[in-house]
Amino acid sequence: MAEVHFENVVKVYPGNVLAVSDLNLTIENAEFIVLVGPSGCGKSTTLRMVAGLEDITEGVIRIGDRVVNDVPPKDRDIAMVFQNYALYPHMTVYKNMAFGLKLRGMPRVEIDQRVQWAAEILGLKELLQRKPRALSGGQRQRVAVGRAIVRQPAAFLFDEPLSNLDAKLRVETRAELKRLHRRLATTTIYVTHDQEEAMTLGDRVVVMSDGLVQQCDTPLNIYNAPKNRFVAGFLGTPPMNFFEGKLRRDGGESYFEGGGIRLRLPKAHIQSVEEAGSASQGVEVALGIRPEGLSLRPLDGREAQPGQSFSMVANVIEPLGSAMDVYCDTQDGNRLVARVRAEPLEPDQQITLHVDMTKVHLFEPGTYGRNLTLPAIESGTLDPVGAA
Amino acid sequence: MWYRFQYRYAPYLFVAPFIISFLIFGFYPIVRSIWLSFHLTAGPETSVFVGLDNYTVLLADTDFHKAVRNTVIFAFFSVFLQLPLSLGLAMLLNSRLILGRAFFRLGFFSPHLLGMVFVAILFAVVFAPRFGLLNVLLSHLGAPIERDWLGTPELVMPALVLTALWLYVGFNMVYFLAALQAVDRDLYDAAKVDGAGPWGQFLHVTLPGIKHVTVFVVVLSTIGSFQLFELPYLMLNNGPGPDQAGLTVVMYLYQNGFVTGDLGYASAIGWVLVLGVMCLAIFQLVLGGTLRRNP
Repeated sequence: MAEVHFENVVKVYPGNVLAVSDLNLTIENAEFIVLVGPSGCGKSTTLRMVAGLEDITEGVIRIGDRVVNDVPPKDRDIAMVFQNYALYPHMTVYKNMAFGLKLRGMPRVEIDQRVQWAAEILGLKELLQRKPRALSGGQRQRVAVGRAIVRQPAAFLFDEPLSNLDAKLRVETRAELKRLHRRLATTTIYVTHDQEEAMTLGDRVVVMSDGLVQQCDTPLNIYNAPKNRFVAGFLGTPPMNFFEGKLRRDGGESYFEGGGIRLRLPKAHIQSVEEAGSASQGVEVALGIRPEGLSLRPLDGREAQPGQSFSMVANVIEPLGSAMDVYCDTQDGNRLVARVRAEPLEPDQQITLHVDMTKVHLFEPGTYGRNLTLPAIESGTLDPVGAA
Repeated sequence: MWYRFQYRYAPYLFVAPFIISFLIFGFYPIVRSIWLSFHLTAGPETSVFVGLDNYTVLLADTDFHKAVRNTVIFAFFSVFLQLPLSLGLAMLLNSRLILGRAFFRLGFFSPHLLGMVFVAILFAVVFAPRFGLLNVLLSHLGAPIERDWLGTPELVMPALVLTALWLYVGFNMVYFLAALQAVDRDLYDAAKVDGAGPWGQFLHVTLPGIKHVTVFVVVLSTIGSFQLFELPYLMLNNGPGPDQAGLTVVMYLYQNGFVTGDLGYASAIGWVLVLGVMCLAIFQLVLGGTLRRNP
């Protein structure tokens, strides 16, 4: 077990392609950290740098107290699980798991004990003499995990290990991995592009884009208090709805206008915008609302607040059981989705959506626009109905 | 009615051109050669049934023994010298560290594009006794001994092996290159993390990954070597060379069938060659585990 430190780590590929830019991060001992982001954001490169499969252009990576920049993969005391499992096709399950131990010159008796121990934990006892091609995807995945845990390394590295599994198996295996982590309590770095995996697995989640860490925090903090528009849009299913517009003042009240809606903003929002160092009038902003921040009825049976609802035409309705996703087209051509309590609703029906103001964020313009509502969220001063 | 007729018989019509030409140019000659191998013939017109005589004579024929020995030596070097070199080249040209890989790949493959006759003539010049390129090169390297490569019995086979090497190394390299490119790169990463060095990676990832192609290339190469004819025939002035040092099984077959005119004996040589190569190929396939049924 060990901490993993990144200090000013930079990775530049030939052709001057910047993959990771000035990464600073400390992964605590026994922590399960998830690196998440879209393709090409640098998450896999980061993992491969820890494994020693990619050189580090600048900076320092430490595993425990040791700088590992120039240490070959085999001497880093890490084990890795690959996306396509990378099981040796000509070896049995047993040999696949024993291979790394054998190369390290471990006595045969101890190898056998460790393989049997891992097989027991992962339910692979019956499969030890099979070759990988005779296994299902889920079984192969477990063998790949088995190969990693027999080594009892300082850190586990997972490179999108669930992406080749079907949806049901993915959810099951996810839970299994979490159980395994709790049992082994080994530092784990897990790379995925699936934000649901990131949210459910990680003690902390690192959201990356364009080679930069956009935010690193607990899953719930990232969800509730995204630092910028990219993070807000990336995490959450369905994703956050955005409206481009301006802040305006009218008769002593502040409003957001744009994308065909006009919302009266509570004072806390405006104070927060000012605290964040932005002008609170006439300035261009993007307003983001989580789908579950919209409802067909006023919140908690309270009276509808003026200026905190808007009308739209429901285009598509997706029933989910107790809830339903309602899709509408906004005036600026974007799609809006609201996750509301299930009730009878027909397509093309005019609906009024009420807004939970605690789920409303204001961002500076641009893909990585700063969250101007962050001060209010962090101090907990936002009011759901924003009564003036 | 017409539609049903078409539906039923059209497939046969489509395969008919192949079947007919195969029957005429493939099946009939095969059957005819079996029949011929039991006859003593003098040209295509005269033949007498002699039973297994051709085969018994052949087994005691010292020239045939010599031809078999030469061919086996050539095949041995094809498999154990040429193929490792091809694999080495393929690994080199599969490496990301080499610049201009496409150029080198084409370069090494290009001898095969020249054709056997051209290569044979080219190497006859290379091995020429006085001013051949090889002698000139050797004298520059400080070994000013003029050797008559194709006129000295002991040097004929090395010359043939070298020529074949130049001709086929690049060709077989392409097979290996294709196989190497199909090996999952993650397996190398997994092996590195598991603790395998370059040799360990070669042994545990590369070799198992290209095993089937290797068996295929070995079998193909062996069969090709046993059919060796054009290279020695053209390089050694349409003959077996000094002291029959370049006599191969197929050349012996050619001499008997088309120079002497004993098509029966030539057919017997052909069938012994077929059986020999078939046994060897099956042995190689069994050894390579290719015939083993998957679990």
